[in-house]
Amino acid sequence: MRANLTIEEVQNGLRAKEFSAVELTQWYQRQIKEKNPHLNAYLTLNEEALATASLVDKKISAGAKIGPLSGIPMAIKDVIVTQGIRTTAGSKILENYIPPYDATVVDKIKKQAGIILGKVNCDEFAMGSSNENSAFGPTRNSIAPDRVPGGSSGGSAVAVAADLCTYSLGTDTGGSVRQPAAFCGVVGLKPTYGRCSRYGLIAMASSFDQPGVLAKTVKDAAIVLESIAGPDRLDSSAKDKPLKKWAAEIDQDVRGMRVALPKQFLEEGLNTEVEKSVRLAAEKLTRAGAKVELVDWPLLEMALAIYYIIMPAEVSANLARFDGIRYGMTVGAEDLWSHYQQTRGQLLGPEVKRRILTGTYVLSAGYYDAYYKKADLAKKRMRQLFAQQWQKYQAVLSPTTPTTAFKIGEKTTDPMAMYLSDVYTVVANIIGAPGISVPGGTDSQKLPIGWQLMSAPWREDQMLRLAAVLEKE
Amino acid sequence: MTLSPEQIIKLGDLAKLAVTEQEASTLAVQVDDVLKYIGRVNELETADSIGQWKDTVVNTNVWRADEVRAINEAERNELLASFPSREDDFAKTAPVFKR
Repeated sequence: MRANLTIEEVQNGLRAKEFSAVELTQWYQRQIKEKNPHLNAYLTLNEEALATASLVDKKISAGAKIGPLSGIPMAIKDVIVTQGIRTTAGSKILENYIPPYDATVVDKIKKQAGIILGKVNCDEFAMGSSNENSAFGPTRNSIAPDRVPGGSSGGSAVAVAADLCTYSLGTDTGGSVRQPAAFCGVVGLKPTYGRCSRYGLIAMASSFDQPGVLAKTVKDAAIVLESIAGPDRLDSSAKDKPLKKWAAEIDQDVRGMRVALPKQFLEEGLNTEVEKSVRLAAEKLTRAGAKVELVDWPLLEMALAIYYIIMPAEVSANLARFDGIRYGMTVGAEDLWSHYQQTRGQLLGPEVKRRILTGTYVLSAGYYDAYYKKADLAKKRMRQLFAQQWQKYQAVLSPTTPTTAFKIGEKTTDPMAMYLSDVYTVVANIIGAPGISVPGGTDSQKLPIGWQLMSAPWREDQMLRLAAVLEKE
Repeated sequence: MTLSPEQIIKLGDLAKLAVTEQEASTLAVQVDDVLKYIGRVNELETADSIGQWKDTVVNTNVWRADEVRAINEAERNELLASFPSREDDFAKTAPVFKR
């Protein structure tokens, strides 16, 4: 088996009978067995993987038509529920939780007989930027094992980067697909809010959460998006918008497209090597016929503050459901009130607690006007700014992160320093737009750099075409 | 404004979250740092917010009628099996009032 196969290559290999789905699955399982003890990407393996693979092989032998994701071995972030397969959300409180249902995105993959290899590590309840907040230990960056893979979909990114699956699913609330993709040198796609169903995503901040894809190429990400997108009667925020043939149209011309490069994304805190690299990305787009313009949008300086008010507010409400009564782990107590306090106090980790408390603070009667209300108004203003700018620009270019992957332990005691690694990614979540991180080479320490593109909501087509240009040598 | 460990414990109480005194002193510094940063939203001039900015996005509820769906025995057992503490077909909890 050749390493680092893309979805297209697996599709072709299966159809041409170069290898069977069973052989392919066994190959990945051996890879996982060998590399996972060190990387800690997978938390739970799916025992049904080979059974699904043999079903796909039978279909192929019988000459039956198979779906684009049939027989493609993949991994799922552990905040996305899978029926009968343990789903921990990276938390002690769900250590033994076996969900009785599938998330819609999982259901769609299962219907095509996609091969679920297992569930991958993440920051607890998807809260974090380094994967160090998992109750099951950090995942290591496969390129530099003393460094973090980013987060919160760190396991999903490492599983793709270390070739422990063909593609993976993650979730993105403030950059949790794009930031780890940048740190691990893979592609990370966050679709428009409402493009994919959130049903079965363990909720963090419901107005920002969106499932996303980590893949080896932009085209692979587009292929997966075509299969997981669409409306859902179980999630009214998933909209019935036309689905395009994103993968087939990916090589279409970008000549004449206008791309904004905000100067606020090139300022303080940005590593100089990353900055140089983004200027190279701009040149690349220009050479392909797009027009890149430096713009000045001061409101962007508010993005991270807006995000770190609205997100914890929603976290404090969403996490209230973990009470240790209907499912999950529990801590014995004499009365109900202390049962709640002790179960949550002892089984939730420090970052989750910080966000619940921050959220409780910004929503409290005395501070609501100064924080939550202001942030909501600022969010609306941000959406209006972009609604105007999308009339003029087809995309926004920026670095995905201000720095490359940092060392394990470097920022764990300083939450604010950790939060700053989301400074460029949160914008897409605030305005509900699609975003993608594309590998942009490496820095002098050979650590991957990510280039980010955003487009107007529902215009993944434009974003993916530009991303495909950035990906080319 | 500086957040005190007592305020953290009070917030924990509101959120039904036990916070030890040791945790509270670390959390007070960390949450305070975050509050100082996010406080910058107040630099934004929103005096005109009553008029121009108030309703730039109007949120509407999307309703559908509730549907009662019967579940089969296996599904029922699966749900019951998720209870951390159980007596017959009921989830068992600690008493609401102290003895």
